[in-house]
Amino acid sequence: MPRIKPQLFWQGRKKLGLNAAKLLPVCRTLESTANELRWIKQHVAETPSIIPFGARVWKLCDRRGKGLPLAYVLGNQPFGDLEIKCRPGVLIPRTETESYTIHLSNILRRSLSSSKSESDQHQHQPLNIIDLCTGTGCIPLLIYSQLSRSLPFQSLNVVGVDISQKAINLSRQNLHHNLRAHRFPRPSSPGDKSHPQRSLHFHKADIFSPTSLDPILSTPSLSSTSSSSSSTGTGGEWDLLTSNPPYISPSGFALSTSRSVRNWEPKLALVPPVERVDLHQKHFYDHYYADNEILLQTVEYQEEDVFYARLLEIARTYRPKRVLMEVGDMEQAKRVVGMVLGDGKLRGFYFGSGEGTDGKEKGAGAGAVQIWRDDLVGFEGYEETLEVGVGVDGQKQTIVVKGHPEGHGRSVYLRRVGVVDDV
Amino acid sequence: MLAAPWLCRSCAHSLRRSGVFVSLQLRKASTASQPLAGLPPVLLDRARKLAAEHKQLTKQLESEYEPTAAKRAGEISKVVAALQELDKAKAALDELNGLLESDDAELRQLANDDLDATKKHLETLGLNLSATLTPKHPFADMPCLIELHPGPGGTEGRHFADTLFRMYQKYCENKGYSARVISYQEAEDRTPGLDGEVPISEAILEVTDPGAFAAFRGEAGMHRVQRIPATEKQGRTHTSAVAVWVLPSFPENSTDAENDFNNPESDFYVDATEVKSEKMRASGAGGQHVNKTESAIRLTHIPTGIQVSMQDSRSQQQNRERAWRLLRSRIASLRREQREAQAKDLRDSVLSQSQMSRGDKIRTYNYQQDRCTDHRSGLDVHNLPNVLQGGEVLDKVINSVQSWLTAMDIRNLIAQEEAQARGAVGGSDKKKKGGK
Repeated sequence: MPRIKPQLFWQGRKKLGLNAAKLLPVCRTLESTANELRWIKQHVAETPSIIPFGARVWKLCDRRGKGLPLAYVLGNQPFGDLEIKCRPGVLIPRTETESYTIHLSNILRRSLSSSKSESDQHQHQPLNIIDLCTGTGCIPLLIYSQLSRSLPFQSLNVVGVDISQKAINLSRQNLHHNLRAHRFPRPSSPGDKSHPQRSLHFHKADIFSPTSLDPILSTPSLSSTSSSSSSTGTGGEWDLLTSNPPYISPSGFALSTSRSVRNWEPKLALVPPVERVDLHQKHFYDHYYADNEILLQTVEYQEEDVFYARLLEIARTYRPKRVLMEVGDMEQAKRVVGMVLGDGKLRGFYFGSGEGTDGKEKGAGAGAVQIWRDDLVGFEGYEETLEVGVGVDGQKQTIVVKGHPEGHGRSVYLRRVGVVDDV
Repeated sequence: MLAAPWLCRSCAHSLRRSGVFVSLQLRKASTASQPLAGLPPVLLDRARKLAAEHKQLTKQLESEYEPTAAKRAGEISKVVAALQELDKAKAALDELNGLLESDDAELRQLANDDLDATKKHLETLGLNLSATLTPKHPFADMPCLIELHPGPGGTEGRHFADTLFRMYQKYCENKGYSARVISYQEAEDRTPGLDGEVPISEAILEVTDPGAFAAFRGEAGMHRVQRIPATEKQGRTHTSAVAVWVLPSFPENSTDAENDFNNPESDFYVDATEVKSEKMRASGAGGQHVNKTESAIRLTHIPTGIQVSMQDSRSQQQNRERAWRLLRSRIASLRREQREAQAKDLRDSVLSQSQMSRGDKIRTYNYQQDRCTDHRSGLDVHNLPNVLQGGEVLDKVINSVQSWLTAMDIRNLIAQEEAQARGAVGGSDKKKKGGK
């Protein structure tokens, strides 16, 4: 990291005051120092306290100057139009996540409002959405907020799952915090039978442990007591599975993460734990590709991808209509796509059986395997194709990459065959 | 006449010389000075042409409904109504003139009494007609963005930009417009100015009421300030300037196809593939690897080179939305200007005076003389504090500019009609979108 010129400290002190000198080592430029100082002051001005203004600003600048991420210092982070509370021990929501979440809810909204005209009965069936490794609960909260406002009569069933009790507590707090601020309509209470049934729940579960996860996954109905959805039968399907799992390799954690991430954010949310990797790798080799010996040697599978292996396993079992997984970079995205296409069953669900070899211009009902880059919102027009090598016999498959060409590969999107996105 | 019964002769003399009696005349550019008894023949011609068109359209609409034709008919129906009123008044005048020649003295007397009133009425009707004939600005119904950019020349301009910003804010408050601050960027150098002014490098105010663009479009241009700055040690008067841009802003959820930014026909349409987005510091892996706080967004529209950047909010989403809105507004106003420049070929030199480009100085605020002068309408007002508080004096200035703009529009229209009449053989396409 290059050294900050002493001259900058002088300038900062002169122009922005003494607090700037504290922030500068972390912010590194005068411009971002000025911004952060302004946000800190705004925050202090908005939250009443008996401690004098200057003292509070000084205190917060001091903490920020020690490298604590700004979201932890201020205790919140804007996410879409929500305010998400942040606390040490739970990963701070990223802007990249915000970007694709908004895009995703736009897709859901459009596909629902186009199919709505066909049958009004659609609305009574809840839209089932589950987010694994939810952290602050930002993804389910934002999707819930966007959909409940753009589709006012649609029933929703949104679930967030995390292994950490801290995260679950925080996500529940976030729900109430945003409800108090009237940022979205209140979920309907269990006894309430009024028309748009909306629910939003957070559960603590280890996604690697079938015993704790399966009860949650197998009942995607509004509530376990509700008999109406089980009688219709078709209601028991997940419309969307999202996940922002830990995806940084141990060496990447030491080398490529920024200092405030490394020192202050929970490693649990960033790096897949080794013992889990070992455990699952064994499980993975035993069950997942047991039927395909050749693939075992050719599929690229690294230890930081262990969560994707598990997520795809879930996708294989529960066949959600759409799956979105955040990934670290383009390489990882390709590996995940390789895992999808390398598996016969998953490939059948999400890619179609071979008629889509030319990649583009498939029928409306055909499935999709896509990689999304950063910066999707506002740049929906950008699209390119990418060849991904698939294990079986070195065969190449063409898939679509969406988003601004300068963005990093950020997520892998799967759409089941027969499901239509009206975009 | 004087109200006082008696006045010393020399006093009366000096009073007359100082011009107290005549000083109330304002140098106001208005259409009233034009000989309106004879409405300009071209304008009348145009009105008749439009009336004919209206007749045809209504006939067409009776047989078959067509939205575009109906819209057009609705647009020109006002003109037709005004023309009918005018014709009626004219007929009345003719009748009166006939009566004047009658032998009956009493009748003549009555006609004479009525004549003045009728003539007055006719004049207002003529004004009415020309006002309905003047083209409505295509963005007139829209909300607007008021952008303040201090001119070159140091802190003084930046200080004054802050004053102007507050002036518009308070003016909106007083007039009941809802204004919201889109961007307010303090300059790096933070020496305080007069009355606690803060130097700013850029400020954007959005007035969200529909029709705000029409109300504020006269404000666009260079605003000049003459005063002794707070930083001046030797008491010299400085002159600096602040550029004010007034851009139409598209309504958040517009139903009008013309102003819908998803419609490629609209001025506000921006092709996303032509826009380059830079996050200010887009390096490294992103995602979980970093938790950067930079939420700044910079958008560059490649074909025009227009660049906007937004970094006020902590939410990148909000910054992005604001940046896109600003970009759309700037592009729309650029397109409009380009179209106007094309239409300019048709017009006379009258236009060059009216089209306020961003460079012209339009108003001066002089602190020493407690005066605010608008250079277009020629209105001079005192009570500068009230102006800067956005009070009724500022309202007066803005209204004078409004009436001046209307007058200019009418004159442009007439000039354009004349040019068209002359170049009718040339067959220039008059139905061009901006050329109306």
